[in-house]
Amino acid sequence: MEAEEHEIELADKEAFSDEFKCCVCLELLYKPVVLACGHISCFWCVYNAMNSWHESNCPVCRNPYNHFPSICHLLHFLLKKLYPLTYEKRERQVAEEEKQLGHFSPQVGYNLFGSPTNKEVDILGKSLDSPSQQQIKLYSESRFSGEGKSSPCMKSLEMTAESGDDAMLKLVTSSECSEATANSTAQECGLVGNDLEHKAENWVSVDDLSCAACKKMLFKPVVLNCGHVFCELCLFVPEDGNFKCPNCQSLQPYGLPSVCLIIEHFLEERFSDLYAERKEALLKQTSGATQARHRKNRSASFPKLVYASLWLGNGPKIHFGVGCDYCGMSPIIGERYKCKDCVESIGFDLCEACHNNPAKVPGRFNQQHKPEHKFEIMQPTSLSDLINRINSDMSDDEGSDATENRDGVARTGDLSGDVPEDPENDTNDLEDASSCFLPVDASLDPQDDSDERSSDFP
Amino acid sequence: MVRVVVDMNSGGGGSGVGGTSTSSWVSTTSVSASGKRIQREMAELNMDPPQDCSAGPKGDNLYNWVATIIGPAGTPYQGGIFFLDITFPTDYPFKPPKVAFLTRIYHCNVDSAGNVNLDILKDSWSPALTITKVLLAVRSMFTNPSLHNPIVPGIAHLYLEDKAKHDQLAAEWTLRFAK
Repeated sequence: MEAEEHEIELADKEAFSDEFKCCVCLELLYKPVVLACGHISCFWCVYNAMNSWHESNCPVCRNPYNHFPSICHLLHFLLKKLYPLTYEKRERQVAEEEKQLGHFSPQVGYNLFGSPTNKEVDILGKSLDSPSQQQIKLYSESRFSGEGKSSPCMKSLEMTAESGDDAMLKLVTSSECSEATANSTAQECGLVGNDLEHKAENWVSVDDLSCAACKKMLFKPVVLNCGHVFCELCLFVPEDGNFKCPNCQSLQPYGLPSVCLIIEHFLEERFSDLYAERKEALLKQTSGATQARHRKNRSASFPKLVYASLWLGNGPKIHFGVGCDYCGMSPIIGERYKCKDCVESIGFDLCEACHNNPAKVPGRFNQQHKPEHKFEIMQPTSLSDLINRINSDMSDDEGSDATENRDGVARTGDLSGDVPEDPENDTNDLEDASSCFLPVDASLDPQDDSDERSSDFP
Repeated sequence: MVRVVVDMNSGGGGSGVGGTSTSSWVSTTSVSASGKRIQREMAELNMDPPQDCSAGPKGDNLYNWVATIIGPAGTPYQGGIFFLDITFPTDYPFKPPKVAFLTRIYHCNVDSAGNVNLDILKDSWSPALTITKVLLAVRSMFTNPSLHNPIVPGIAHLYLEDKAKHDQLAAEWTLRFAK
């Protein structure tokens, strides 16, 4: 128990780069999801920030998107290696939250392209944070010892032996220092410290950051909707728009996403020499024409107007609040297929395309549809049903302070088209509620609650 | 299906929270996602406060803050200390905080009840925005009032017609209410 607390304390001290801070929860990214614009958030942060009524916007750049991307495994394992303690702490936190909610984020499996162990060849240490000067020297030696794979390997073996000795030394000193305390606790502390030292060394290698196509270090990394990472130049968007991930064959909704600048910047800093080398080599290879073809304009895959058919009923079916478990489209546009055999409560079914072409990758919410599973086509919820449901939800959990909430909303003056997103907008009678669904709602006057506010002027 | 927000403390949306989260925010184990985020913002605000601004919880309710902004030099609000009331919804940061002036101010984007007419507090809200950014936006409102979208059209009109008179009135109000 003490050791656990100690670890939490240590995790607080393990400073992480601001680049890997989730812009929504302001903590270290956990199960990172990269949006088409290249901005990163945690899985749950993206999910919660998404709009269940129409397209969503990136929290950072407001770029519109309609698909909830998969977790980027590469980044997940990178962060796990970089900040093992903080990441573990986040893991515990999120697991607790998920338990309370009863919804679980997908398990991230084994790193497919990564390396098997923490002990890597060709290591580049983070020089400032490294615990012992001696090790830093060894790192830099191995970095500059040439391109041959074998010699760094040997070096790193030597090095691990070195660091092992070093840790042993530390252990001895720590037990010497704490003579007063019981021998066993001293041993334990030493072990924790030892553990930390090993973890904190940031064993990140080029192998952790390699392109799934060319197997070299990523250059201008692009993260697809399915979470796979490629060099921008390794991807080819066909003219017909049927752009598929070379790795998992899943269809990409937006064409080529933007370069993930956070990963790129990390690469530039960590592997500056190698990155510059890659840049030079690739610039020689590629002509301007191919680059121009790659730089196609990326936009949301559905026009904004599509979502109006939810209210007007003149377009394809829109399934409010329901996403597709495989491609992440949220809300589902078109037919919605609900699995009769999978129990899942968060509201992720399948869209038509994914139902017809089952994906080989696990979905956003871990539904594993087997061939014998039966699907039924669900009709979108009708307007009156929605209003009823919102009302019943409100009486369930908000009850008495419904009127107060209404005032609260009125004060924020949510005059935008997405008014019905707030369940609080409705009063208890249906007639009034239906007026909320007008695109511009005159009844929500930001000034009409002036008497409610306290008027204590200093 | 109405989406569930990662916040278990209370189902109520609107104004602050009742007793549920007030007592628990000190402990680090059982704080809701919104509470954690607010705590982080508080820590960051204390570490690196924005210019001429300060903010913090009113009492022991983490969801109810008071902020102050000092009127920037070169504006009729110069030297005034303006108090603002900030209320976080329980699904913060997915819904914007409510910000209202407690101190009266003569400004075309602030109505007589103190409501601030700022797009980022309404439909332009993004969960990536923080209280620091909101305070800076309010502060920049002092120097650059949004005249196209005023909440008090009369003040905006006067600003355009006779800026000297507007500034004089604003300075008088500042002297009367904010000093």
